[in-house]
Amino acid sequence: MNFWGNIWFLITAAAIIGGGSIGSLGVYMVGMRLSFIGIVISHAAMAGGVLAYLLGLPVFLTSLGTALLAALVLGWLLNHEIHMESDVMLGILFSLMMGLIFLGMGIVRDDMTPLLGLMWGSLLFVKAQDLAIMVFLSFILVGFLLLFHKEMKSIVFSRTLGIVCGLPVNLVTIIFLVLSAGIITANLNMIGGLLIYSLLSCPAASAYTIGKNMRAILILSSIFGMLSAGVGLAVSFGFDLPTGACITLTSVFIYGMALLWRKFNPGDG
Amino acid sequence: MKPFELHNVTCQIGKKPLLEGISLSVEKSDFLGVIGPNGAGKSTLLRLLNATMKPSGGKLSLLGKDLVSASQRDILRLRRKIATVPQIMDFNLSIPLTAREVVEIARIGRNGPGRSLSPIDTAKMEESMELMGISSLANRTFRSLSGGEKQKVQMARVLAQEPDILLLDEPTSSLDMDWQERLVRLIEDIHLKNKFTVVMTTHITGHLPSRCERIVLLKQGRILFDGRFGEALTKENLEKLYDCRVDILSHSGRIHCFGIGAKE
Repeated sequence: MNFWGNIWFLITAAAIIGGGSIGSLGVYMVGMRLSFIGIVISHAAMAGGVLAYLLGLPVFLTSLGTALLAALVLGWLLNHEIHMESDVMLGILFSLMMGLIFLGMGIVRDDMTPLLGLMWGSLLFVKAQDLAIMVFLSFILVGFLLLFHKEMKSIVFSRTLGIVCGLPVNLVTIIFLVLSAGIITANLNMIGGLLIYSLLSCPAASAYTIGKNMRAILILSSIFGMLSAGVGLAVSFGFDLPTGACITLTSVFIYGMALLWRKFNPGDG
Repeated sequence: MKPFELHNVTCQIGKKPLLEGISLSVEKSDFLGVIGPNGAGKSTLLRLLNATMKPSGGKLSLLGKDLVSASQRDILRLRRKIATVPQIMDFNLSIPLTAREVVEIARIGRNGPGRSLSPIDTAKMEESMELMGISSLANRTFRSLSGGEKQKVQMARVLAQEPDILLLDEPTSSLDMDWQERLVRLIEDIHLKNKFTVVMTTHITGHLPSRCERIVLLKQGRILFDGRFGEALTKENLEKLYDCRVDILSHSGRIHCFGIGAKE
């Protein structure tokens, strides 16, 4: 395979694997009415990236470290009664991350391109190493879902019911958030911290709109995630447009189609 | 081993006391009714009894295990043996779980994390749904069911859990009169057939089934009276409990209480 063949294989594989895995995560985040968790974790990863750039540290590992830290803080807050609405709590964490990102960007005086890449992402930046990490984390996600889909489904339906039935709600939530932190960080280069939220929420929202059961919703959300990334990439390449923006707009377009489908195919409620 | 024993239990959030000096124990297969006005501490008592809250002081033994010193693993094990129908349930009705899948949650919890459901689990779920008369609803989405049908699914769920203790927190509160009556009879029937210990809270005396042999009157976090059904539900006790004038009517083994105005 020649150089361009390798590049396009990498880009296409990254788009499909990243879109599919983020689409799957979104099912549980949207289901828990906590899709904003994704944007907090992605901004924590971005803040880590800025920190790494400032201090000359490895970008992926630093981003992963800050994303994991955010995931653990979120998990702790979710698992304890802190007498605050969850969206307010997430809003405060989001503000903290944004503040750190802009502070770091303000301190950097030279070329900002790598930092802007973290915000907007580009599939053209994807390397073989990134793809290997994405594949590895996707396998862990599949393993987690095979083991804990029943538990996650129950927790998403009712956290209280899960707790009173003796499910290890706190443990499963923490594992899920840690896994989310890894997958979001691995996809940061491709989609960018600002746009990753759309891949977490739109494919899942589309799947909930037309899916009849949780299994179908999970499969549909993964497919919609892959389609958003794949079609977005093709449009981006074909019309020389920004990749992250094309992926985001494709995911919103798919949601619009799902709403139309629902209008003409109302289910049993 | 007693299902639960509380010795001088205190419970508070911040500086606000929710329960103070509660001492209470039950025997296996007892049916205990807990009555009290809003804010009396009924739900807090049930949260202690289903191990989702620890006491701030005193001693609480659940199925022979001291809750204060219990590890997280022990607490999860306890919860699997104690079935609860909470008063407020945060159901996310955008999730299209079927009635069967809601009942299944009991078996998922009972089996422990990561385990697949066995044919025994499936058989128990089917049996519970049949007992509750909801087999025909098993594949309907939970969100499409009526309030009464949802409550029946909840009861099938607790039966599928095969608990040692069943906790019911104002189970009739969201139902219309017809379903309230049906549910009371259903609870009586479940207790008669299964013989597990039942604790039911309510602020409506008429909703306590005639099988409820013992009543605890709870007011402002303290036990006002603890005794037999007929001795507890007197005009004098209920007037003290609700701080208003009451009238009572005995009918079909149950005692109905009516507020008839403020105390003079």
